[in-house]
Formats: sequence, C-alpha cells, structure tokens
Amino acid sequence: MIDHHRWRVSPEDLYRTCQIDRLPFQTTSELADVDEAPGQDRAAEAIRFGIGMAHRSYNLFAMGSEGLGRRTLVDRLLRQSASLRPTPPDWCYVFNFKTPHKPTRVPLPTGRALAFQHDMARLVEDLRTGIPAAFETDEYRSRRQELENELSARQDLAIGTVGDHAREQKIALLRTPGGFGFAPMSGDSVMEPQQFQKLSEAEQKPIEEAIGRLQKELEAAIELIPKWRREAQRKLRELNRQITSSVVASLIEEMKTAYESIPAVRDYLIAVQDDVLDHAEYFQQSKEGEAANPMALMLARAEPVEALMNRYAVNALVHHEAADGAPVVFEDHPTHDNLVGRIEYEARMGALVTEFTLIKGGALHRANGGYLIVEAVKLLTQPLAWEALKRALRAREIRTEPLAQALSLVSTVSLEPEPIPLDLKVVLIGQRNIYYLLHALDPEFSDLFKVLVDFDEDMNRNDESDLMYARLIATLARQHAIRPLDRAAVGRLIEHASRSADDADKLSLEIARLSDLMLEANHLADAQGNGVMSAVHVQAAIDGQARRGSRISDRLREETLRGRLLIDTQGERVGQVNGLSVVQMGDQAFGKPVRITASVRLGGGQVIDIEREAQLGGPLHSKGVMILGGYLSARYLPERPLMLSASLVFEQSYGGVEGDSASSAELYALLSAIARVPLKQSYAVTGSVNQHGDVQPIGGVNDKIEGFFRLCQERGLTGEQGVIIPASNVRNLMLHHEVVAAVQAGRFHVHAVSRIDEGLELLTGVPAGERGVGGAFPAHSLNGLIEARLEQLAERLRPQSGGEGGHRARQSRRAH
Amino acid sequence: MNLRRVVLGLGLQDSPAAMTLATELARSMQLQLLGLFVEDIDLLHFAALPFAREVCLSSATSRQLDPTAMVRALQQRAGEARRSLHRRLEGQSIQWAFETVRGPVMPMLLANALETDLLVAALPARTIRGAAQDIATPLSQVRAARAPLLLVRDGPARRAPVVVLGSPDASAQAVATPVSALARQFGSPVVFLMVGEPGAGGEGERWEARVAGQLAADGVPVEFRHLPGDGERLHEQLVRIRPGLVAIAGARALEEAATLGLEKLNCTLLLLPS
Repeated sequence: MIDHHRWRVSPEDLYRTCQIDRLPFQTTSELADVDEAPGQDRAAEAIRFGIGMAHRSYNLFAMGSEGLGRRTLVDRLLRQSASLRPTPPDWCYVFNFKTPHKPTRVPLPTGRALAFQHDMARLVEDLRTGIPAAFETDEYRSRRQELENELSARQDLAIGTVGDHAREQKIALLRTPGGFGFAPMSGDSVMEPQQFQKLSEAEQKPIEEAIGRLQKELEAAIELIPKWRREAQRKLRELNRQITSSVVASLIEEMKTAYESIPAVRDYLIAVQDDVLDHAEYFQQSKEGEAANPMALMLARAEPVEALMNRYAVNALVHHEAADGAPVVFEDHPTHDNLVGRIEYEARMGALVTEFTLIKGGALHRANGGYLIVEAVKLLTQPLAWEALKRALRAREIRTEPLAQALSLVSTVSLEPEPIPLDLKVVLIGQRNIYYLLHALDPEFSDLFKVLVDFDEDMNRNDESDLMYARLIATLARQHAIRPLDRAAVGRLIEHASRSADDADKLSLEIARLSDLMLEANHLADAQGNGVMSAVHVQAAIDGQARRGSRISDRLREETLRGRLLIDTQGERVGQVNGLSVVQMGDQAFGKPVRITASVRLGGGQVIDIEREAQLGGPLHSKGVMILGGYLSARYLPERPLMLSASLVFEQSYGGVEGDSASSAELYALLSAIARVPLKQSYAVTGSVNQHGDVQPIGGVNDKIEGFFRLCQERGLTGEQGVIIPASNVRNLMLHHEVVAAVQAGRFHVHAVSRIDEGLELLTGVPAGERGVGGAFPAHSLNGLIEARLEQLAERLRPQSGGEGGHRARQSRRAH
Repeated sequence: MNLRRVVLGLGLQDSPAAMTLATELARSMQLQLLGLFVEDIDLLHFAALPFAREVCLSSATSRQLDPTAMVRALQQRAGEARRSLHRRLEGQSIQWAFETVRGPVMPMLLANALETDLLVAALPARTIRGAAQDIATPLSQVRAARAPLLLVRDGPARRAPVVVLGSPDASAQAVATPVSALARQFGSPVVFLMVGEPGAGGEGERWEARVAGQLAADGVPVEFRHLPGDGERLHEQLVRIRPGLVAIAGARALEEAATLGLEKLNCTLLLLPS
C-alpha cells in the first residue's frame, strides 16, 4: 500500500499569504515615495557609473523586459544628474558668404540664440529702412544719373554713329522687335519694297552692299555693349557701396558691440557688413517703372527680395534656457532625420530648393551637452538611423545630411552644413536579445556602449521588500493620481506580484503590469464610490483581467468536457498519462492538460518522438525524449542492449510543442507501457527528468495546476484527483484560492516528488522497488516488472538473430 | 478743357511709365481709356525688302527677316500690350478699349486722337533712327496735333516738381485739372513759371489765387514764380528746377516747347495746344 501523504503538499505551501498585519500603515497615503526602482539596485548603480564616466565610449544600454520601469529609472537618474550640470551652449546656422552651400555654425552662450536671431532680423529691417533712405538722397540720384547717362551716351554714341553713317548714305537705322535693322530711305520714310524693286540692279547693289557694311559695323558696336554694362554695373555697385557704407557701418557697429565677447558672431557680422555693401541694391524698394531703367535692368534680381534677405537670417537650431541644466531628450521616433536633423526643401517654380534656414535640428542637437534616450528596437528598425547614430558618436560631431543624399538617391542641389561638435551620453533601452545580438553582430557596439544596465525581472520577497513594494505601490498611486490603497489591497497586490513572478519567494518587478492592475482596480473603486482602494477591488481587477483573456482556455475546456478533446480524470490506463502544458497567448498564459501516450514493441532501442517526426516538437522537447532512452538503458538491464522500440505522442496536439517539462510524464507513460501496469487518470503530471531519474523543476507550475484543477472542478471533484509536480517547484506555488480551498477540503491534491519512482508509485499504486542484494528488483515491484519485460523482449530477439550472425544483423539494423 | 478720353499710344517698345500715367489719369479724372497699338508701317516695309536683316541686341548677330515674321512679332507685341493693360486695369472701374492700327506711328496716333482726348505716348529714352537727329523728332512730328499730348519719359519715377509754363490766362488755367492729377501721381508740388510780372489791376493775383485754390483742394502744393523780361532765362530756370514734368498750354505750345528744347530736359511733357 502506497502512502500518498508522503508527497502531499500542505495547503500552507500552496500560497504564500502576505502578512498584512506586519505592514506598518493603514493606507498608502502614509507612505513616502520610493527613491529609486525597488529591486533595481544593480541597474541604478550601472546608470550612475555610466553617467559618471566621462569617456565618450561609455554610453549605456539598459536591457530587460518590457514594463520593468527601465525608462522611468533611466529618465529619473539622468534628470538628477542633468540638473546639476551646466546648460550647454546654443547653436545657430548662418549664411556662409564665401561658400554658400556650406552654412556656418555659430556657438552662442546659453539662451542667446533667439536674441541673436531677433537682433539680426531687426538689423535687416533697419538696413531696409536706412539704405533706401540713402538711395533717396540727391547726391545718390545725381551720381547714379551720371552713370546711367554715361552708359546711355556710350550706347547712343556707338549706335548713333552707325546711324549717322547710315543716314549719310540715305539709309535708316530702325528699331526692330529684337534689335536693329537698316533700310533705304525715301524722303522721311522707309523705301517701300515695290519702290526698291523698281530700282535698277546697278542702283540696288550699292544699297545692299552699304547695308551689309553697316550691319557689320553695328554688330561690332553692339558687341561692346555688354562690356560697358558690366563696367557700369561695377561702378554702380561701388557707388551703392559708398552711399550705404556709413549707414551699414553705424548699424552693424551696434551689433558688434553687443556681441563683442563672441568671436564667431563678430566674424560673422564683419562678413555681413561686406556682403550688405556688395549687395546694397537688394535693399532698394522696387518702384513702378523701374524695370525700364537700363541700370535697373542691369542689376535685375533673379529672386524675390525677401528670399535674398534670408541670407542675413539666423537659424537658431538649438536654444536653451539658462536655468534648464543639461538636456535629457527622449526620442520616440528615432528616424535618421529625427536624430541628425534634416534639410527641408521648398518648391519654387517647380524646382526643389533649399537654404540654411531650412536646416532643422534633430534629437542629437537637442540632447547635445546632455543625454539622449532611445528605444533600441525603434532605432534599429529605421533605415540608416543606427549607422547615423554610431557615426555621430564616433566622430563626435553631428553632420546633417539628407537621407536621400546619403543613399545617393537624388542629385538635387543641397547643403553641407558645418558639423556641430557633439558631447552627450546615449542610453539605448531594449530587450536582452537585442543587446546580445548587437554584441555578437556589430563590432562597433561594444566599443560605443560599454555600460550594461541590466534590469532584474523580480526581487526577493521578505518583510522588508514587502514594505518597499508597498511604497512603490504608493508612489505609483500618486503618479497616476488614483486613490490610496489600504493594507489589504497592498497585500493582495504583493501576492499577485509573487504569482506574476511564478515564485512565492519573489516579487515581480513588472511595473507596467502593476500600474495597469492598480488603474483597473481604481476604476472599479470609482464605480463604487469608495475613497480607498481595497483588496476586493484588486481581486476584482485580477479576476477581470483573467476573465477577459480566458476565451481560448474556456473554449478548450469546453471541448474537453464535451468529449472532443480526450482527457480522462478518473480510471486507469496502460501507457497513458495526463501531462500539463502551458499555452501562451499574448500576455495571457493558461494551463492545459494534454494526453500523452506511449506504445512499445520489439525493436532496436529507439524511443521515437512522434512530435519531432512530425516536425511539431522543438529541440528542448526532443532532448527531453532522448533523455528517456538514456534513463531506460542506465536503469534497467545495464549490461544488455535495449531491444524495444517505443513511440511517444502528445495526443490531439496540433501546434508546436516545446520544452522538456513533459519528459517525466512521457517516462511514466513509457514505463507503464513497458510494465503493462495502468496509470491513474485522476492525476496530471509535470516535471522534467534527467538520466538518473531525478525530477527537475519546470516553469508555469501554477498555471498548469490550475488548468487541470478547472477541468476536474467542472467535472466534479472526487477527492482522488490531483497533480504531481517536481518537489523543487513547491517554492513557486501561488495557487488560486479555489485550488487552495479544494486541497484544504481534501477534494484535490498536489503531490511533489523528487524521483521518478515516487511518481510511479503515486500513479500506479504499486511500489517502485529497489534493487536487492543480488542486484535484482523485487519481482512484483514496478521496476521488477519493467526489467522483466525488457529482458523478455531481449530474449525474444536472441533466437531470431543468434551468435555472431545475430550480432551483425543487429548492428546492421541499427546502422539503418 | 473738357477731356473725355485718354488715348494711350502703344508700339514696339514697352513703356511702363506711360501706361502707369495713362491709367492713373483715367482713374483720377474718370475718363475712358483707349489702348491704341500702332503697327509701324516702316518696319513692315523694311521687312519686305529682299535683304532685310535684324542685328540682335542681345547676341550682336544678324538674322534674316521677312514680312510674315515681322507681322507676327508686331501682333505678339500687341497681344502683350493688351494683356499688360488688362492686368493694370483689373479691378478698377475704368471703361477701356483696345485697338490696333497700321501706319506711321505718330501720325496714326494723332489721327486717332480727338480734341477731347488726352494722347499719352512714350518719349523714347533712346534714339530710333540715330542719336543726333532724333532728339527733336517727336515734337517735329506732333506739330499738327489737335489733342492735348502727354509725352512720357521712361526712367525711374522721382518726386520732382511739376512745372507749368505760360502766362496767367485761360489757357494756363485749363492746365490746372490734368496737372493736378499728374502732380498727385508724382507726389510733387506744382511750380507755375510765368514770364513777366503779374498784370495790372490785380487780375494776375486773382488768377493765381483761383488756380492755387483749385490745386489746394486737391491737396497739391503750388508756387508761382515770375521771370522778368521776355523769357530768355526760362530754359536756365528749368534746368535748375530739374522738373519731372513740364506742362505748356496755348495755341503755340508745341512750337514753344520745340524752341525751348524741352525734350533735352529728360522729363515728361504735357502739351496743350488749344
């Protein structure tokens, strides 16, 4: 008779209740905020180390699962540090008068960029008022008129001289649509064609020859006109420069004085002064009728005045307030352009054009002198963003280059802004696998991100940590502006955190999930109008989450109850056992019993994993099955080869199977099939096994137990039903209160075993048996029956093969 | 003077200043406007000559011309002038029309202008048929004009005084209305430059007061200057004033203008022959 009580887990061990009487508060409103993320000491220390390391390669990678509060902790510690650091300088781009396509960077003391931009705009306004006034003076008019007259006179003289020559020969110089022409005169008018035709050839020929000569003479005269115009233009510019120099100098001197302490601005203002004097005509107001003026035509502008005035604008790319401290920037959409900035274009007359005022800063510009936080997966999924970030960190400068240009996709004229020096810390936040992949595949990664910030998934549970967790709950309640929680509610959340960690001795650090649950509980409390959140609300929120995600598990259980999914919960059967699996659907996991069957026959020692053969089994599952062969060989007839073939199947499994948590159940089914001893179907089993028959821990034990319990509960608890789990998983138990209640009432049982023999005894009710003095198992023990069957199979094979030939035949079969 | 219409003479050369003044006068004096484009018959005759070639101003090369191309070019220019006028008049309550005629330019303009019209034409800034002779050409051509003439000098607009030449009589008074409109357009004061002293019996003063009142009502400052003698220092005075516009009225207005060499002043001329 087997004593089942040996392996029973007591109800107290099924759920670790939070001792709320040890919590020293009534509601969370009495608790102070936590200073840092509880349980993340290692991560916090790493962040502080990374912040403190001045070397440029010490950027940080904060890794861990979603919802651990990575960004919150990183952000908080960075802001603490940033507030103590000086605010970085402002940066502007200005027009480069020497190389217009390479805008010049101008660093300014913190907070001065916008003022500089404003001052330059005012300067331009002043110039636009002052310079036209200078052009309105009589002196300027007179001198300009002289220049105009000089040019007109030269042109008139040149063309008029030709006209005079023409007139002497009774030929008219006519103004035509495109230029000039020569025609013979008759009186004051041009000779009519008919009249010309009437002339004799001897009269016509000299006229034609004279006109030919005059045309050449006129061509020679007209060829000189562009040169005279250029000369006049140069003189006009010089005149404009002289006229405007005093106005420009006085206005710009004021600016120079104001920015005397900033060399870059002083140099820029000197260049502005020269450029304004060179282009004084830009500042003249356009007037009606001006286009007809030959001088105005010479200085005709290809672009609107406003566009030309932009050359004196200031692009305040980055500007800070002096008291802000160092910037902490989180870039939520880290595209290439959002990181390094972009150069925008405007459509003008159907063409895309750009200028330095269309340079837009990126996250690197904003974070320069401080910290930049980026989510790694978002960064890596944006084209060239990761490369751009690395290039900037390596070169320690921000080079703004359009993405299309970087890819050589377009050949539009663009800008090459002078790079801006870069000094910042980058913090990447990502999953662990991303960190490891980057480490393995990108040699530059480890050079640039030397500080690993590894976030823990859970923390130890004890009275001290319970209180810390309570403070965390209080902090979150205040952050989310929800009602305070009473002790019972906090206790329930602590217990739920243990359940989430799948460990009675741990607390999950998934802050996001905890926040969600609190918000949902608060919502329920809202409906009831309670001032304080209680355990009832928390439990209702937990149940609500479970209920909302239970459609699939309910449907599967329904199919089982209807007999379409075959799971027995009573009776006995040879080679068949209930295994326990966990199905993960999104963020919901639930336990699902699964029937595992085994069959044996005479064969060459293979244990065939049907799941693997059907390519439904993952590598860990296959490994677990292979271990079974090792166990059989080592445990039974160690001196003789196994002469059986066995098949193992997860019945009615239509998806993939992964993990080795069913290997103990598979072994039980296999041994039952070998020994022809039936297994109790009122049990479900989980646990992996090694070659020595030790039962090893598995994951998801709570979900697995509850999955089988729900099925039994629906069918009616008999008091015989229960589960067999690895003894090492007892510390993970945080079972639903209904399971605990059923166990307390003796209507359901949880057994914890350490060895396969223990599980076998529970499942069969037959002693497993140990080898005696002679090395044999007792004849009626389970192990005795198994070994006897294996020997029987081995003996059955011997006569068929026999002697040397038989050995060869066996080798040949194995080779196949 | 009872003006009813402004006739704007248009030709091969664009004259924004003439177009501006014509439209402004039509608007401010509430007159009709006729854009009259003249296809220069001389150019058509020239283009029909077997050796007709055009020396291009932009490239200093010559190319063959033919009558068809010349007609097309003139028609295109007429279309441009019409569109330009339309753009200027758009949104203004000015009655306007546009016509194209063919013939010698100035005679055609004069022939199409009635006594109640104000003919506005460009006074070329540059010579057409040779520098030396053409200085006097327009005035020599308009001696037979019946209608008042506004010969507009192209070039940058400037706030120079408007000068009226003449004596205190009805003809000078007739100038007041168009001069007032033009002075407002120029934003300039008006200077009446009178040869001889004001007449006896206070007639001259009363006349001046009347004219001054009329212009003052339009917001135009006015000044009267009397030149002693018979006007030998008139041209010297004009050069000194550097007027933007000179107006001269009377039966011998055109002859006087030619005699004074007004075209050499590089300013706009308003000639009121009757």
